[in-house]
Amino acid sequence: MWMPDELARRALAYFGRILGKEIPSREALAALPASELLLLADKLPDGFLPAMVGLLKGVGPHGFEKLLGDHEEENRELSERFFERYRAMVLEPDHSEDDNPLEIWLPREACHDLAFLSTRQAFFLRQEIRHINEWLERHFQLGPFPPAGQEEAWSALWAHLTSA
Amino acid sequence: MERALGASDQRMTKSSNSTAQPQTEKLTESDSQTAFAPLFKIVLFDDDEHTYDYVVEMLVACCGLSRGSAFRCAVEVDLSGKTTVFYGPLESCRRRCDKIHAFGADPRLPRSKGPMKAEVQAR
Repeated sequence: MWMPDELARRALAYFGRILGKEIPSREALAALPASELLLLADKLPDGFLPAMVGLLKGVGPHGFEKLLGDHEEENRELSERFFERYRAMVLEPDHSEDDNPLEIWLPREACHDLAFLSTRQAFFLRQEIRHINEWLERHFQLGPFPPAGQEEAWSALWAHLTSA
Repeated sequence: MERALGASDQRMTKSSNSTAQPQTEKLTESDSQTAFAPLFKIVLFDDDEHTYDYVVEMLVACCGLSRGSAFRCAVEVDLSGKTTVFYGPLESCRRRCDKIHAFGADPRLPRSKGPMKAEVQAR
């Protein structure tokens, strides 16, 4: 996430107040010792973690190294906590086994665009056959296909769409 | 991460003769090839067509990383522009790199049209 300058300035001012020292620029944020940067992250509400990471983007590899605590044992706990909280913030929640990824990420209407659909072949082939069968039956009345029949199902879908 | 065995991991075959004769250490041809096989790595490059979720899912599937390690790689590639995701012998790296390239587009982003860029490099 690349933050506009005005928003970055406000975020840095807020970070500075939390840390009790002025942070005038992205470079100044990246120049903080790992322990201070991680302490800042620890004090920030979860919702500000993506902004902090966004401000560190593009300042070079040392930004990431500092989030790792510069590999110092004394920073390990803060670093672990940062990654745990940041992961919970930016990754989508775990789907239940019953959620069908095809229903979530491959809407029926998108299948009319064959150029787009072709870019989703690898995604389609990775899905469990039960999800593929459920999706093909619901939207195209195709199948069912046998276990390990992903390729066959993809060919049938493609043939169906190109013959329509 | 998978790593090739280094020279120190190789056990040279020794004669079973337990007399006081000096024992000759022999290095078999395959030991020699493994011991001196140069190590390679897979470097993954940043772009704006893939989400953190995709990177984590892809690295778990293609490189056998834990979700935690994969997430750190995702943060590193986002911040630094690139990250090393695997170390190993050349063939192993090539195989996994092919899997990364075959993983396809990120279904979460309509603008995503293909896989992430990755390449095998000598360490």
